[in-house]
Amino acid sequence: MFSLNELKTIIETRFKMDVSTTSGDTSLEDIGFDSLSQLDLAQAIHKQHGIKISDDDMESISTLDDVVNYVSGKLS
Amino acid sequence: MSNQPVVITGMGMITPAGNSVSENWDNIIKGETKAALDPSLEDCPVKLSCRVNNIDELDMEVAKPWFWDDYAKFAQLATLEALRSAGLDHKNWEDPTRVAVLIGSGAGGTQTLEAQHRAMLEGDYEDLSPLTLPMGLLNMAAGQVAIEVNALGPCFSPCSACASGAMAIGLAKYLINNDIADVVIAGGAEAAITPFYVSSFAKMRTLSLNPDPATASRPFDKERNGFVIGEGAGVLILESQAHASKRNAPVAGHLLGYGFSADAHHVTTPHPEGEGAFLAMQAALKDGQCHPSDVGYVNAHGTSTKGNDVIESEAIKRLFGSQVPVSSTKGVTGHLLGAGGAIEAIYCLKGLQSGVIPASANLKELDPNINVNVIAGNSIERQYRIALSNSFGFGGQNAALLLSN
Repeated sequence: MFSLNELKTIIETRFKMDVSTTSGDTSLEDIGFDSLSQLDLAQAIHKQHGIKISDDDMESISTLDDVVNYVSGKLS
Repeated sequence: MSNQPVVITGMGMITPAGNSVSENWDNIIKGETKAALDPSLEDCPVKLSCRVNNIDELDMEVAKPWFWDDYAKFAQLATLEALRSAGLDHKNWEDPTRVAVLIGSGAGGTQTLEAQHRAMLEGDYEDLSPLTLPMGLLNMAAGQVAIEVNALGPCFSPCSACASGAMAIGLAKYLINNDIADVVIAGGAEAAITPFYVSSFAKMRTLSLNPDPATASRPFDKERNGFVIGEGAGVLILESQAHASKRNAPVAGHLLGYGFSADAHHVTTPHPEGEGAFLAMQAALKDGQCHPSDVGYVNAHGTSTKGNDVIESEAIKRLFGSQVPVSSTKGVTGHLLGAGGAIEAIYCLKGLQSGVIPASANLKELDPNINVNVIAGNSIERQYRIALSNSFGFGGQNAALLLSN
């Protein structure tokens, strides 16, 4: 399993961003991520959890919940 | 084409001497050095630096702080202060295509480049951040500032090592005099206090080996033996007289002239007769249509290196004679490399505004080979109309700015 809180911890650590009150249905774009920052996030997740999000799959990911569901699915 | 003076309407800065223009000026007048032991340089041959304070707090003042190398972050914060002091709202430009951004730097995003290079060597391609080049390139401070303030005019980054910031400000006058821009955001930014950069300077024997922070940066002193590296940014807002008058802008001062030159001699050693320094100062006077006797203060490049301070003082003496007051503010701030010329232009403007000539901090005994009027001890009160600021870069690249109140 990969939780929303785990994702938030990665975002807070890597991007020095307070997302403690951000809900899972918030889009990455709305919290300030552009395409390069999303690639950076995918890389941080890969380093910590060994799950690689392909560039094609990243394009279909929009919200924090999308990231959580994708990584959880791969881990299971 | 004209060579009319341009109006300076705003100033902003982040340096080891403070995170605003007013805090900086207070500390320059106090004359206390900001050099300190730097834990990040523990394994380096030189362990002192002049750091910007409270960088983590500064993070809160820029959007997407992870996306900025420190040098670009410093540039943006200095820009925001400069725009505020100029009374300009970057969300409501009259014509953003007439707003230019020139931010010079010597090292660009070297912190990012070094960290990412290390990450790739220690890991592999997968460990390399996609943000490496957007944060690391030397032109990104100008690029990111232009994005943040929606400036659609010319945007580039003069690179002439430690003359970069001064050249950006000089080129701002060129853009305005040639009717290419009405408003120019110009300055320099640097954040190169890394073990790699510091060690590279140390290999060249340019950094002070004096372990005492209180006396390591001591321009013109007999015992000086190198500079102390600093970081930060300085940014000016320059406008055409017509643009500034039309909006009734506050006037911080004027850029009367600029002069650029090359030593064409050696990559790091100054020309032995200071020919390049002389030519740059002479060209600034010509551009500003001024006589040497008009100049009331010279803010020297004054790095605290053996070579520069003697040769620069000889060039000053040749052009101005031995009586013009001279000082270097690097005794307080250290040497901010590509940002140095920009912050020192601001110190000149503050001196002109307040009728003060700042002293050369840490100057205990003047080098007997220096034969100009170096101000030591306390800053002196004196009304003067024109100041000249020197900046010289490795590569023998020189710039001088002629400023008035």
